[in-house]
Amino acid sequence: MGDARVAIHLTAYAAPLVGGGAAYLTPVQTLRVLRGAGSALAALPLATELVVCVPDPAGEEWVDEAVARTLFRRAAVAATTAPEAAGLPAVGRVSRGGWRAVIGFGWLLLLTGGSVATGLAGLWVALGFPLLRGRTLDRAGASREAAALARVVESAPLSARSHAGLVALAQLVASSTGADSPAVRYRRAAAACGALGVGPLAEFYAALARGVPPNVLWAEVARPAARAQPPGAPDVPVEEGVSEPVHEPA
Amino acid sequence: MNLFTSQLDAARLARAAEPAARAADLDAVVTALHTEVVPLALGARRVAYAGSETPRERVWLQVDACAGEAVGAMVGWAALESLTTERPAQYRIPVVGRARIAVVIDEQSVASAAPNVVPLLDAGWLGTQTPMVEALRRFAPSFVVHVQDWTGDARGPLAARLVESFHLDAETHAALPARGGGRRLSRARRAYRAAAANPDWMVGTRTLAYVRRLGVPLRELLPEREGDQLDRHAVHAIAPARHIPTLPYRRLGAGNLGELALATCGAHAITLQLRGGSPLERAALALAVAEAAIVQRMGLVQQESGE
Repeated sequence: MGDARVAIHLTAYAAPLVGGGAAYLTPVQTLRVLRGAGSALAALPLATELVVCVPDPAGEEWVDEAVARTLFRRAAVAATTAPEAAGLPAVGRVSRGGWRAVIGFGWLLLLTGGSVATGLAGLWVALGFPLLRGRTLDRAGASREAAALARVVESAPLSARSHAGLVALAQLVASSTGADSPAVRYRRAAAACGALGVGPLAEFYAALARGVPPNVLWAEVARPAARAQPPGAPDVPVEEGVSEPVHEPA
Repeated sequence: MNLFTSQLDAARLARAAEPAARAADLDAVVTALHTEVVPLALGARRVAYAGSETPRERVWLQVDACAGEAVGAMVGWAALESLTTERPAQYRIPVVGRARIAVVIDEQSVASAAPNVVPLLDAGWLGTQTPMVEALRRFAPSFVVHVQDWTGDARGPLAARLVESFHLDAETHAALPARGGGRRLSRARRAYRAAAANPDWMVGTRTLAYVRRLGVPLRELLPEREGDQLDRHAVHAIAPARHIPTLPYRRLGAGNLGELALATCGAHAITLQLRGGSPLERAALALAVAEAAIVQRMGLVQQESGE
């Protein structure tokens, strides 16, 4: 059935660097998917695929699986600890003093209520409501999403896909006159990202051009040709690369 | 101080802030040491190794600043100078004799923007670039001290907190209370008591006690309003200024450099987060906490007091 089963792609880019290396980075869109859909991803493990868009026309560039999975794990942490992920349901926003006052009132009703209705109301406020509140907060907790994402990132298949924009970007970064400094090349790359369909990388290259750490999650990795293979390490081919270029992530 | 005894003063700060003087001072202390250059996309970093060739303990000390200043360079220089000097210090000989210490030298001040609220888990934003992590993995530490300086342009009194990474069995970890020791007679309280008997937990407890005995003030790093710390759900606040990631984030294993070290090397890690104060104060506190953590981890203080 091939890719017909895959419904959710978590995408990272392998941005080419001056000197032949690459940087894997997760765009904001991927963080949004991780933030909003952790439980859904965990419920559909076969429908999730980790995709690294690579600047290789054949899509066969070796992806450093360990680095890529670590990056996705970092992305899961960032997504579930971000301010947007920390929003509480309404029952969680009441102050502790207010919360205790409500419980106390419930017990008062239960103990002093003169009728069945008052007693039931007291029972609900004193006992039922706290239980339901606890369960609601648990279900909405970002930690629950993090637990689900840990399983997803470990078990989802990882594959490389050729990206035409990254191929062009790699040529742009690599081609230069002798006088061009890395900062100049990165500035050029930042300016070209929009037109090449890799808009999320513009800010990344702009930061590198300024010599400051980019404000995105990224991890640098040496290209396979430049990387020293550890003795005995097999040259692991990429898992099921799809050859057609992808211009925008899903 | 009984291990990192280097003198930190305004003159040292001035030298650390000036690139040429900083490089000269660092070169002077690493002359006799084995060093490794780790190339990064934003400039290389050096790792200097000191101590025993047949160590019982392998310690990795790394300082990262989100908005570069001279603090990292000062701490690196002071740590190496203290370990290689002939100046008498109570714990220098036992540490150098029994441990291999890797000090990551911060040679460049890289400007960046500091966040308004310091994240408890930074998702590896500081100090986890792949070449550094690979160097750490090759060193195979048993103990990691990671200092994160989150000051940037922030002004205010110096505050700090620890985020600790060590093995805890899953059932106990899952039952820990979110804050403090938990309610009496509850499962959370029992889990807290069981976890508090863990030797690695006690290293953190004794580290802060040692820092207090040194007379170094440690004010807990808290946001201006409690509601501003939006990632509190990601950690257990096990004591004032001490946190450990919750079990889901422990399983993700990428909350910070310490969590990565625990996941990849099984290393016990203490992450010290600093904010505010002057550069000298931050460097002094970083060295005090690093010294406390190392001597407590190696059980040197325990042996002396016969506990």
